[in-house]
Amino acid sequence: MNVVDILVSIVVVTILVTIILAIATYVAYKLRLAREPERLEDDPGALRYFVPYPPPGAVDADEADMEDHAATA
Amino acid sequence: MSRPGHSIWQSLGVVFVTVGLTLAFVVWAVLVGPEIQRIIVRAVVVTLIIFLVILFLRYFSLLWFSYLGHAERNVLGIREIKELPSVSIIVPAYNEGRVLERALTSLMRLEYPEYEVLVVDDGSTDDTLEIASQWEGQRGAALFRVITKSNGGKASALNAGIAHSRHPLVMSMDADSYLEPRTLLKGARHFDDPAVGAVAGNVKVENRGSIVTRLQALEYIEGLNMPRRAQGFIAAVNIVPGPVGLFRREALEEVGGYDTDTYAEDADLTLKMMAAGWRVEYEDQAVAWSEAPESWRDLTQQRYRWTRGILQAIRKRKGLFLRPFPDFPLWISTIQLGFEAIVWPVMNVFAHLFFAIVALLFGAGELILYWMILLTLLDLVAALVTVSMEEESLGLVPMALIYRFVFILFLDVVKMFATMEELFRLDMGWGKLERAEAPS
Repeated sequence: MNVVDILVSIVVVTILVTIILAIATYVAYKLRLAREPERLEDDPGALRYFVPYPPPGAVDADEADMEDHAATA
Repeated sequence: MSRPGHSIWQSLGVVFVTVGLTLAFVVWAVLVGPEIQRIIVRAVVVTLIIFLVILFLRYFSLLWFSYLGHAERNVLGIREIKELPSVSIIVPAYNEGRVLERALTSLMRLEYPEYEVLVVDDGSTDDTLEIASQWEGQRGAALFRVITKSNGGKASALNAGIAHSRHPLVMSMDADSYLEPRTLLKGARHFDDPAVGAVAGNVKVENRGSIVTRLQALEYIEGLNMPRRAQGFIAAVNIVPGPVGLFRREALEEVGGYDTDTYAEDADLTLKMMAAGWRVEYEDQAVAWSEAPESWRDLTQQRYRWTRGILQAIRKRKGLFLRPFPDFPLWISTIQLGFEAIVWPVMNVFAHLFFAIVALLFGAGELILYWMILLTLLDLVAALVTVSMEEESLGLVPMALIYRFVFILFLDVVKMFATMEELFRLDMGWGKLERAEAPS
């Protein structure tokens, strides 16, 4: 194999590998995009995975505060 | 704009159909008789010649006009403005907490008599608003202000900034970029000409620690700034870049600010301004340093969005392609934008693919090799000229050896798929690139 053949092989392989890698990267990018969670368009601030759980004492304390405010108003 | 989750199969379908058709053609070319194969080889040679002619014409015209623009500034002297107008700098920011501090520090150090900085927090979920709020107040010649809004995209954030701004010139800047101290001074002087509506600055890549970022650094100099310099010579720059763009408020108000219906609001606005008759110039000393994607996948994401956004902007104004007069520079600029976005990537990818296949199957390897050597030499010369004009590091020039048939070929494959998705109007989203911590 002479120098020209070697260089031709390098060029051809580089072109084909680049195209294949570009396609693979593009597919990988699309798959990453598809795995992102969707946003809640109607209420961006809404909690998706967690429901607020107030500790047992907190509810009574809040009610007591409201009673205090009502008494002093 | 909607999320792309349900279009993944459509996107993959575009890829499979394109690859499948190409492979089908290759198999057919191998299985047909020698007569047809001779015709294919002749067709490839003719394509090669046409490709070379277009390439040389493109390079020659861009380099020549770019040099004329450079000479006009350096030989004829710099036009000095009599009185510097005050400027409102708008920095839209969505989850830019890691890099915002550096951007604002550079704005504080600008050498300019009077300006304000408006940080528009576009509903960030990190500490962007907190960081920006700490900057509020007068700092030297600059007044820093912060406004926050619910998330609506970059264009809406920019429009909000424009609505709250106070000065006759408006500059847009990206939160992941930073400006040099004389950027504003160099850009503002162009507005002494009342016909100038906008000035595009010079975006350079800051992070050059890997091959992919060094290739982008060369691309910004040779592939983006050189054409802008050439377009600036005829005052028809077709994209004022997001990281550094200066606008006359009157021109912005006349065209109604940024539209929110494309993913390349910078290209869209520039075309809108040129169509309204405003001159758009280029200033290579109005420098902004920007963070380039550090991975091939992030680069794919960025170029996918750029391509589809530019095509969306072109589609909105497709009538411009059919009207060479009365505004011939606008027509040339629009043609160039469309050619670079649609025709050139497809031509480039299939030219390389067919040449590789012909070299493998039909023994024309030597011809292809000499062709590639010739193009590589052209790229080296163009890199040397453009890097020298910008007084940049000559260490970028050797990247020209793999610039065309690795980097540009890679990007053109992505652009081709993006073009097809835009043709079929598949849904898309912004995506968010990973930000590296800004060096202090």
